[in-house]
Amino acid sequence: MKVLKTLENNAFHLVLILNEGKVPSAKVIGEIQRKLTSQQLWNATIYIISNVSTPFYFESVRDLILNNVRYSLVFRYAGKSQEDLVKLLNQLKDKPFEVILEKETPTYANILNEMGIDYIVLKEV
Amino acid sequence: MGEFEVVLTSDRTMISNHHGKEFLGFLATGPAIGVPKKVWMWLAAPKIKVDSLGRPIEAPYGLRKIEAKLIDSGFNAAIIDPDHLKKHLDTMKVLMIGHHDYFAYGPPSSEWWMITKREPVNRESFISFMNSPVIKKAKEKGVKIIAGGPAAWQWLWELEYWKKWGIDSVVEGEAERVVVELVQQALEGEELPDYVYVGPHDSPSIEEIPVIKGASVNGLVEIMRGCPRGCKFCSVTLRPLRFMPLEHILKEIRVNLKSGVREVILHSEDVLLYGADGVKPRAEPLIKLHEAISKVVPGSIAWAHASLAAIKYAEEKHRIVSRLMKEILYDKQDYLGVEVGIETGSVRLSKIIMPAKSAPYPPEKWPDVVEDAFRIMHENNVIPAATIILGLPEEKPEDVVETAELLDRLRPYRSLIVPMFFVPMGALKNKDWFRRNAIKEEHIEVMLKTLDHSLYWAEDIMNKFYLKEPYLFPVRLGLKIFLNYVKYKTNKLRPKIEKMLLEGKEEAKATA
Repeated sequence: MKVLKTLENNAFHLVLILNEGKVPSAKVIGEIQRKLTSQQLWNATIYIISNVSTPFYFESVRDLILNNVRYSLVFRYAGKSQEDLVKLLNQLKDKPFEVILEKETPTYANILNEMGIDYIVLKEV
Repeated sequence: MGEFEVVLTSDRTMISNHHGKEFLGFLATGPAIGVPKKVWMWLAAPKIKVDSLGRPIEAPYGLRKIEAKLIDSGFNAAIIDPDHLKKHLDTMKVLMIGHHDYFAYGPPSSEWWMITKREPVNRESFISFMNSPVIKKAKEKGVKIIAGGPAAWQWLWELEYWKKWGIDSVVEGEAERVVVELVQQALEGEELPDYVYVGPHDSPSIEEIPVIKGASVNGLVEIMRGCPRGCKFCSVTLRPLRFMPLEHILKEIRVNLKSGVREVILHSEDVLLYGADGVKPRAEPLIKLHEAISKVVPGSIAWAHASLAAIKYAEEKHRIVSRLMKEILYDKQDYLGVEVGIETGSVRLSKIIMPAKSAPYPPEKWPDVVEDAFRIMHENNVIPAATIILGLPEEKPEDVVETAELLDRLRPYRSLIVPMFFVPMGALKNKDWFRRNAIKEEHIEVMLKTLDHSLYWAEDIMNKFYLKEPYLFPVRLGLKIFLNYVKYKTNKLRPKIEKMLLEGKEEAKATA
C-alpha cells in the first residue's frame, strides 16, 4: 500500500476497530489530539477494521471528521478479518500507532494481546 | 478522439457561466418555481461554449486550480464539459469531480428545499449526471473517481450514492499539496484512501498555489485565502491568512482576458481585508489592486464577499469605498455587487457565535455597524446580497425579534437579503430536517420581511442596474416573470400566514 507522503509520512497512525454503532467522536478526537500534541504532529491516518465496509463505515465515524478542525486526517479501510488486522499491525510496526476498539471483542483483543500491543476500549461489553 | 488521462468535470449547474451574471447561478440552488424545469435550468445554468475537445471556455475556479496543479506537474489533464465526457472514455484513467453543493445540503439550497419541500435543481442535476451512461461506462473501464471541492463533506451523508457510483476517494480541504500524489497513485492503480481531510496546517503556501491555465467562470480570481474573524459557523476562518501577490492576480486576469472573459470577480472571504492590518483595511493595497485591475480589464469588477465591519471602517477611516467607486471604477460600471453576512441582529447572539465579526468595533455595536455599512454601500452604488442565519445554536425568540428590528432599519438601503437556516449536521442523518416544525413563527416573520425587502429592491435593481445588455433580454424577461410569480404567490398566501402568526402569538400569550 502506497501512502500519501505529504500527509502520512509524518503522521500518527490509529487503528480503529469498529463493531457497530457510532464512535464517540469526542473521545477519539481527544485521544488523537493527545497523541498528536505530545508528538508535535498535525496528521493522522485512521485505519478501519470493521465488518461494515467502505464507504458505509463512515456512518460510524463521520462525526469524527466533522468535529475535527485542526488536523489532517486520512481514512483507509483495512479489512474485517483477524488476518487483515495482523497484516495491518505488521505494516505499522515501525511507525507510531495506537489501537482503539469500539468495544471489547475477544477475537481482536486476543490478537492484540498475543502481539503484545496495548489498546484502548471505548465501550466495555 | 479524446486525449486526456485525467479529466475534471461537474454537472451543468457548475459548468456554466450563468449568462455572465454570477448571481443568476443561485437560481440553481432552488427548485423550478413558476416556470418549467427546463426554463429554470436555462435561466440558472445555460450550456457553455466548448472547444473541439469539449473543454469549456470558462470553468469553476476550484477545478481550474486543480487542473493547473496537475498540468504544472506534467499530467495530461483537462476540464471537460459534462456533455463531452464520452470523447475521452478511451483515454481517461482518472475522473475528478468538484462541486459547491453536490447534494444541496449547503446554503441556500437547503433552505429552498426546506421551504418548498422540493429538491433543488442542483441536486437533481448532479444525481442525473452521475447516473448517466458515460459515468457507468467509465467505471466499467476501470476509471478511478475522485470527488472533492467545498462540498466534499456531503458525501459522508450520501453513502449509498458513494457506493453506487463507485467513488474511490473523497478529498476535503485545500488540495494543492496532496492532489498530485493522489492522482499519480490513481494512475498507477494503487488503492486510494477513502477520505482525505486536509487540515489547516497542510494548507498550501502562496508559492504552491498555481496560476490557472484556462478561464474561470465570470472571471473569478482569488486575491486571498483564509479569514481572521473566527466565526463559529465558518471553517474558512481556521485556514491561515494568505494574500496573493498582485502579479499572481494579474496573471490570472490575463488568462481570463485571453479567453474573452472581460469581467473580474475578486474572490476572498473579505475583499477589503486584502493587505489589511489585521481586521483594519488599508487604503494603499486596495487602491493599488483596483487601479491595476481596472487598467487591464475592460469590463466590470465585482467582489465575492466583504465584511460589513470592513466596509464601515474602510469608508469612515480612509474613504476607500467611495474612492474605489467614484475615482477608479466610475467609468466602467455603475454598480458593484458583493455578498455580505449580517447573520443576526442580536448583540447577545453575535457575541457568542461571531465575536470578531464586528471588529474593530465592539460586538455591542453590531446592529449599528450593519446599518452604517448598508448606508455606505447604498450611497456608493455597491449592491449587497446579504445573508441572515436563522436557527443558530443558542438562538432565543428575542434574538430573532432583534434581527427583525434590524431588517426594518435596513429597508431604505438597496440590497437583497436572504434568510438561511443553520442546519446541524447531526440532523441530516434522518433526512427529516426539512420538517416545517423546525421553523418557528418568529422565523416566518423574519422570512416575510426579507422577502418583502428583496422583492422591493429586486425591481429597483433590475430597472436601474441589472441585465441591461440587449442580448440578455430573454433572461430579464424570465426573471421578471419569476419575480411577479413570487409576488403573486406571496400576496395570495400572506393573509393565511399572518393569521397563523397572530394565532401563534395569542396561543403563546395564553400559555404564558
